[in-house]
Amino acid sequence: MSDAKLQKILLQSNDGVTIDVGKSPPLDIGFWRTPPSLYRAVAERSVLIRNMLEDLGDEGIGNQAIPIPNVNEAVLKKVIEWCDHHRNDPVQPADEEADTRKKTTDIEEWDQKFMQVDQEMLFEVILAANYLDIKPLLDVGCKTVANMIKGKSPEEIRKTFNITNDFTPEEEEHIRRENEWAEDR
Amino acid sequence: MSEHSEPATKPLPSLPGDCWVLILSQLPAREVIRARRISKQWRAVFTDSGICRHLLYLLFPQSREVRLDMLRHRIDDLPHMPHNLRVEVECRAKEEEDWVKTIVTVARRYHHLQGGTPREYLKLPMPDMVDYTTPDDCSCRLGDVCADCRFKIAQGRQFFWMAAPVLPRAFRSSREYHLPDPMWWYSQEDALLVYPTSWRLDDKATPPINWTEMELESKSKDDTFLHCFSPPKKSCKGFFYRLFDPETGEHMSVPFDIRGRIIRRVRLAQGVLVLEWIQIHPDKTAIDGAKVKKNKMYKTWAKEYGHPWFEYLVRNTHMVTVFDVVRTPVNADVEYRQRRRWTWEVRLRHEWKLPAWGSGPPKVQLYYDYRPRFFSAHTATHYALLIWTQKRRRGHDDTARQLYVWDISHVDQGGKKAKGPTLVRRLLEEDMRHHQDIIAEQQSRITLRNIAMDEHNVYLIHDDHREASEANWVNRRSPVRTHIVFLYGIPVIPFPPACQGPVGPSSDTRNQVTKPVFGPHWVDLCPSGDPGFVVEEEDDSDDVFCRHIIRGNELALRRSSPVIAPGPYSSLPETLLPPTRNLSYPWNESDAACNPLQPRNFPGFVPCWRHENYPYIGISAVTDYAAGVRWTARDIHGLPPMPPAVAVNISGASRLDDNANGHSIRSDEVDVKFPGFWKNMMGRMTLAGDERWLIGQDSENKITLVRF
Repeated sequence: MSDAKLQKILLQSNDGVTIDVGKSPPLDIGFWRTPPSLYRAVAERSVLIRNMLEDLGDEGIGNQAIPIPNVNEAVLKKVIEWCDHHRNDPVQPADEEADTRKKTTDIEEWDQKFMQVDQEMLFEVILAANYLDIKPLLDVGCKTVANMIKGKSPEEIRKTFNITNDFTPEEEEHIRRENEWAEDR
Repeated sequence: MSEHSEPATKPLPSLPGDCWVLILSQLPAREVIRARRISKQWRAVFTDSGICRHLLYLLFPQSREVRLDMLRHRIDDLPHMPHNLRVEVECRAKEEEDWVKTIVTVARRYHHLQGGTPREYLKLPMPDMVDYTTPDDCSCRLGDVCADCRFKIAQGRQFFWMAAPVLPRAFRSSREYHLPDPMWWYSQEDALLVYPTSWRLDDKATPPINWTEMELESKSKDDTFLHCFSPPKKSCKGFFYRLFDPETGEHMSVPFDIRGRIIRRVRLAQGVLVLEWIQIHPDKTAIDGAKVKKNKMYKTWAKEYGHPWFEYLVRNTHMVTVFDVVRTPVNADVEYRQRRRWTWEVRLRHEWKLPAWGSGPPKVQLYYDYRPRFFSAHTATHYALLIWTQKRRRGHDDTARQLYVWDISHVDQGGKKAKGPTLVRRLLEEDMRHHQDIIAEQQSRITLRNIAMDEHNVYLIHDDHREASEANWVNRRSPVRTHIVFLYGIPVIPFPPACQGPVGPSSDTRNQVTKPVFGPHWVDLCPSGDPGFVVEEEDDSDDVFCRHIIRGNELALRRSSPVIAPGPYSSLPETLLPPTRNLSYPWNESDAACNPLQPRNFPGFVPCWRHENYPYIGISAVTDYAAGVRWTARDIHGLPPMPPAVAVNISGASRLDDNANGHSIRSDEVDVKFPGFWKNMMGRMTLAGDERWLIGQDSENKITLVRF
C-alpha cells in the first residue's frame, strides 16, 4: 500500500460505464490532493477488489477498468460513495464480527441517510455489497431491511414491501395455526 | 388479502440466502417464524433448510440442537466423547435434520423460557405403597408432602438422606429437619429420568405419553396440573424402577427386583445407574457371636429412641448395584423407527457389599441428630462412599469419617464368580483430617451436605446456613453469624502416567513427589469482610442477615474464592492438577462453544448461591451450564412465597456465572408464571432438568415434568 504506484482505480459497471474511484468524492482542494493511497483505501473496502489488486499487482491492472458485471452504474456510484465516506474505518477483525452483529440494529446517522433510498436501490446495494464483499455495507443494508420488518405484523410487512398475499385465506389460517405461539397476544 | 392487490411495478430483486440470514438474524425469532405467512415467495425463503440452520446457529448458539449439530461435525476429533452422547449424535446424523421444524421448536422453547411461561406438562405417578418392606407404622409428619406414604417411609425417609438443608416454609413448623433425597433422579448428561412405578411395562410397547398443554389463565391454582399420565392397570411385581426418556416418551424397565430390599438411594449420571440398598432380612449365617451382641445393643438403642430404621441400617447388609445405561440406535422396522431414533439398554455392571461401619449406637441429644450419614457420588468409572458417624466418647464428640472409592470401570464378565469392583482408596478419619478438613472438625454442627466427584477428586461440600441447622432453628439464642460454603477436594484417583514405558520423564517426576497432595479448595464466607457481603443486624433481635451483594463489575473474581492450597500444589506439574488453573472459572475455558460435551459444571464449584436474592434463600437450583439456563426456587419465612425464577442466556454473549464474575444473575432472570409451583414441583425440594424441561415432585407423590 505504501508504495502504491497505481494512480487511479477504474471500475466498469455492467452497463458499460467506467467510474474512476478516486475522482469524484475525495478531496481535491488547492494544495491538498487526495493521495493515490486513499483511492486504494476506498476501493479496498471491497474485499473482492482488494484481493484482485493483490493477485494481479499494480502492473497487471495498469490503467484497465475492473469489470463489475453484477452492478449497474447508479448502484456502483452509490457503493463508491459509501466506501469513500468509510475509507478510514478500521478493518474489522473477523472474530469481532459476531459481537457487533449482536449489538442491536443501531445504524449510525450518516448511514441512515445514505440508506434513505427506494427499496429497489436498497436491495441492489445489498446485492452489490454482497458481491463486492463489503461486509460493513452489507450489514448496514441488512439492518435497514431488518428495521423495516421489525415489530410489524405480516399485514404491515406486506404493505411496506408491496407484497401481494398469494395465500388463500385457508392456507394462511393453516400456517398461522401452526405457530400460534408466535402471534401477538 | 392485501389491500395492495396490484403487484409492485417491478418486483424487488431477490436476495441470496446469506443476505436473508443477515437480515433475519437481526429480528426476534418469533417474528421470523411469523413472517412465514407473508407470501409464498417469503415462505419459500423462510422455510429454506439452509437458511433455517444458519439462522439457528446465529440466534440460539447455545441451544442443545446447535450443540449436537456442532458435535456431529467434530465426532471424529473427539474420541473420548461419552458413549450415550455419541450415539445420540450418530442417530441424529443418520437422518437429515429437519431444520425448518427444528428452528420452530427451539424458537418456541426460548420464547417460553424468556417469558417464563411453561408450555406443557406431564405427571408421572409413583407408587404409594409397597408391601415388601417391614417398617410399617407411618409416623410421617411432613404434612401434605406425603399423605399416603408407606412406600416412602419404607423405601426412603430414614434411609435416603437430606436433599434440602435449608428449610422452606412448608417444613418450618414440623420437626422434620432433613428431607431425604428424592426417589427419582434425572441425569442431565443422558437426558434420562429414573423413577419407581408400580405398573407393569409390556415388553413390546411402551404406553403412549401425552403432554398436556398448560392452562396459564386458569383461575384456580389447582386446576393447572389436573391431567396425569394414566399408566396401564396391570401391576408389576418387584421390578419397580423405570427409565423414562422425555424426548422419545419411552419407558424402559430396570432389571432390579426390589423385593426383599430397601432402596436407600438411586442416582443416574454419566450413563451409570447406581442403586444403594439394604437387605430386609439379615444374613444370619454371616453373623458371628460378637456381632449378635452388638446387634442386640443396636436393637435396644433403636427401640429406646424409637428409630426402627436404625436396626436395618446396622444389622443388614448394605449393597450397591451398578447398571450401565446405554443408548442404542433403533434398527427395527421403519414404523417403529419413525417414532424414536434410539432406545436404552440396561446392563448389570456390578453388585457388591459395602463395608461395615461404626462401632456402637450414635449419641442422641435433644435437637441434635447424630444419625449416621451416607453420602455417595459416582462418575462413569468410579464410585465414592463417605460414611459419617458421630459418637460421644470420653466426654467429647468424636467424629468418624470413612471414605471409600471403588473403580467400577471394569465390567464383570459374568464368569463363575464376579469379582466386583476394585477398592482403590480407603481413607479414615486421620487421613481426612490430613486433607485440611479443619473447619468441619472445629464445628459442633453438622455441615457436611454432600459429596461430589470428578475424574480425580472427591469433594466434600459443606454448607452451613443459620437456617440449615436444626439446633439453630429450634434455639434461636445461638444464631450462626455466618453463612459458609466450603469445599475440600481430596485427590483420590491419580492421572495415568504420561509415559507408559518403564522409565520416562513422568515417572521421575512422580518419584520426586514426596509431599502430601491436596485437591482444589473453595471457601465462601458470608459475611466475611469481603466487599461482596454486607451484614445487617436488627436492633432488637439476634437476627443477623447476610446479604450477598454484587455491584457492577467490582468483583471480577471474589477474593475469597476459590482458595487453592499453596505449596505442594504448585510443585505438581502433572500428577494431580485441579481443574481450576490460574484462578479462573472452569467454564471460562470450557463453555458450550469450546466443550459442548460438558453439560455439568465442575463439581468443585460451590459459590454461595443461597443469597442471590436477599432476603430470600435459595432452596433448590438447577443449571444447564452448556445451554446457559438456570432455574432457582427461593423462599423465606414470613414473606409471601416467591415464584421460581429462570435465567436464560440466550445470545451466548454473556455466560451464566452464578454471581461470581460480578454480573448479577438476577438481571437475566424472569419469574416463571407457574401457578401451583411449590405444590407441584417442590415436594422434595429438589429440582432437576435441562433447557428443555424442569422436573420436580409434587405433594401427591407424582413427578411433574414441565416442558418449555
